[in-house]
Amino acid sequence: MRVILPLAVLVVALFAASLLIGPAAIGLRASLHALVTGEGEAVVLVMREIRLPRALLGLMVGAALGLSGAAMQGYLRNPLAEPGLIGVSPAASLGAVVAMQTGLVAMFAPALPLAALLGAGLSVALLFVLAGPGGGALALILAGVALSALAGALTSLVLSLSPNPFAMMEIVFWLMGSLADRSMLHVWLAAPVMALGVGLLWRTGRGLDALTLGEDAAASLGIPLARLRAQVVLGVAALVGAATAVAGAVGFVGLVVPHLLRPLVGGRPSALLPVSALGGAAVVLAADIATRVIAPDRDLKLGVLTAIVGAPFFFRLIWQMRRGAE
Amino acid sequence: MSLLDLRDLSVTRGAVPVLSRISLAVAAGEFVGLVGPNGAGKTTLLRAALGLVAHEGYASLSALPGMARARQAAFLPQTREVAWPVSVAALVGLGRVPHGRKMQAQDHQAVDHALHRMDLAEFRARNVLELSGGELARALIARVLAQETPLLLADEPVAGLDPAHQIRTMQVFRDLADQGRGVVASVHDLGLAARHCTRLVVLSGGRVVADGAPMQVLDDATLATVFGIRAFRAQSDGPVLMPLSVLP
Amino acid sequence: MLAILFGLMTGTSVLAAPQRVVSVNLCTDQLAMLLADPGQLLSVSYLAADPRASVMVEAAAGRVLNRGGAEEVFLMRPDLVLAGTYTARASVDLLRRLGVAVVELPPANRLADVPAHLRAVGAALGQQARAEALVAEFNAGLEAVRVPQVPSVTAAFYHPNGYTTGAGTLADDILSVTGFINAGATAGVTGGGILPLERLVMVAPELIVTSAPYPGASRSEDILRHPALEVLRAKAAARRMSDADWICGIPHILRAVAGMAAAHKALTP
Repeated sequence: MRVILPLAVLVVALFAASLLIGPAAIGLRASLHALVTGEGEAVVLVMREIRLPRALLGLMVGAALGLSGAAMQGYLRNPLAEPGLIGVSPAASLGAVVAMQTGLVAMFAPALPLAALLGAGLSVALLFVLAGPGGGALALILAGVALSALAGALTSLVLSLSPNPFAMMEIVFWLMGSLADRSMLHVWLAAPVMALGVGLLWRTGRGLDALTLGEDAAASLGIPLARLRAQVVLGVAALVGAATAVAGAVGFVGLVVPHLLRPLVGGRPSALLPVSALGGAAVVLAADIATRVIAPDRDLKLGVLTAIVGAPFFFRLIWQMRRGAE
Repeated sequence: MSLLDLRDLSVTRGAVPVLSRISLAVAAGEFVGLVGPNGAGKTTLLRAALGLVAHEGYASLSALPGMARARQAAFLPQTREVAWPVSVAALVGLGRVPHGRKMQAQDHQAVDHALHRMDLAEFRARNVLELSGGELARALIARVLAQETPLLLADEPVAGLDPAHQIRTMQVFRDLADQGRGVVASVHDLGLAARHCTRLVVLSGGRVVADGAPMQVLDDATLATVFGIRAFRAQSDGPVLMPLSVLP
Repeated sequence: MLAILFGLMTGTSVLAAPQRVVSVNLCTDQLAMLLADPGQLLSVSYLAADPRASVMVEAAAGRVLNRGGAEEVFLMRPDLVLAGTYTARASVDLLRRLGVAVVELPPANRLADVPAHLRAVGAALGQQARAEALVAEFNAGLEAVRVPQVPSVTAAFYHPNGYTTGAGTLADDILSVTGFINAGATAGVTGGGILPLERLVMVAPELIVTSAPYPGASRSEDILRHPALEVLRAKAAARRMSDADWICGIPHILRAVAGMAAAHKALTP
């Protein structure tokens, strides 16, 4: 509670900031008035159709990435497990890109998040097989690097072969992520799939706590490990898939957020889940605001900022592991 | 009343038999020491009894659904791994997982009791990753105690503890047995096993080769054939057994 | 301009007209096809045959198409290469070092560049008379379609990824001669750049010009179906432009000018 409340306040503040900051200079009162009452044509359009979906997606994508990072780390008992770094987000991108380029999305819009879910799901399942719980950091990183590279390369290949001249330019988006110019359509596309993921991961807390003691102890405490694994795989796939389908692959959020918040909740994986969701939302909202403040006319990618902030954390973690091993 | 019932329990890894047709019953009030050389199958026996490895034959616990089994028997694995920097109290509290989703007053009581029994009361707020090896081992034992099950299975619980805590831990297990619960623990230290257990089961090559009162089981012939050692025996407030030398 | 002429003086123009000309840039392709004698132009770039980019697909049909690689061009043994100042710098530099004469043409930024470019390429090809005739025709055509009123109607170009054309561009100049105010330029965009959708919404232009979608799917084109843009379009006049008409400063640009003049007429009673 003492962690959740301040975080919730921070998320609300950042959400409000995301609504109020943008390239079009609109006064504070005018924008809030337009958002709530729907009066004032152009301002309403900006607030309701452009800024609101963007802020909502920042909240949703961030919460999804934070939550799935915490769940994956809890299950693998490895603080380096991060959807973006170990290939889950890139695989989701690949799924989304294939669905777009085959024309599936044009026929059936929900195919976009579902295909991304499929890509993410296959990659999580593969990672769990290659570097199961307690499989060690080395196996996880090796498998993750291979998977990231493969998924990234195939995404680039599919986009390069597209007859559309813009597809090629989108490689950066799919690998770095952005919330620019998204609409409520994307919110509705992602929301149900994310809700499914949250529902699945929300119930894993007790199992993840028990896994703190290792698989045998967790099983002896009555935790059905096969079911727990299925819940984590599907939950992470749904969250990362839906987030990536609408915002591209945003890295490092699932790494930095649980890492920063873990000491505050006494290390317990179950307590880390809701807190990481809030923390992730705060980080992505803040990063998205920064892209608009730093270079409003440049469509700076989200992943650029999260990586600049996140990479040093990654180095620190590895450094700590090395020292721990000595 | 039988707390654990194994009949013709066999485990094979690939084509290699690890356990061969083991039959064993443990009753309330017993502290069974599982002894045997490295590779005898002690760990596999404990895991198979709980249904954590695929096996043939009958194991009363592995037939139970997960949560029901967890309220029947607690298990202390040999590896002392803790993945996250939780507090000692939170670690011990994991023993209450099978008893319901939310921690109730009785759960907190069980945790306090277990901490006290393992001499960890003043450590309760400490981060487990900052504990010494022995302190961590005791915290993990306390977790098993907090589970408050009729039966307790422990894989080498006293390895790595200092003499005082080794004796104390064995005494805790013996007290539990005396209070009507059952304990099965694999133990390498034959002296501790002989002195504190109510019964010893000797495993060798995946078979039970002896089963009975400690000093009768650990006779010269068994020590020679199973362990390849000879030992000194005495009585001083209970049985004393001290391994002396390796037989040629 | 001076630099080009200077280049011509020291290069090929003093000698006889070049007989093996290779063009590696879409705009020089089309200028050369308008000006060259039959057989004089050996090869044009592959874009000249792409209907999405070129207005002279038929003229390009049957010609040798190149992709502008130095090796490929050199093996054609050209006596003159026509290139754009921004196309394939490395290839152009390499060709120069190999002793091939290269004439470079900057992109057209305003309608007045069209006669200048016609003359420059005409001079390079030794077709000055043909160039003058086309210049006269172009100037007359422009006078015929231009809208004389002071610009008053706001228009905005909106392309995939929120890209717009602002001040100092050919498209901007076309708007100004057809009675429009370029909303992109008003919003502070110079050259090509991104106009955030919410700024476009706040400007609320009376005409929105978007490019026709390309085949295949792309996320970049999603923005052209954004609900906020749909609302703007419902209120404003909308026009789909054919990219090919707008790309190069060649006489065909008059088609784009005429189209915008017609749009202006429709918007003003």
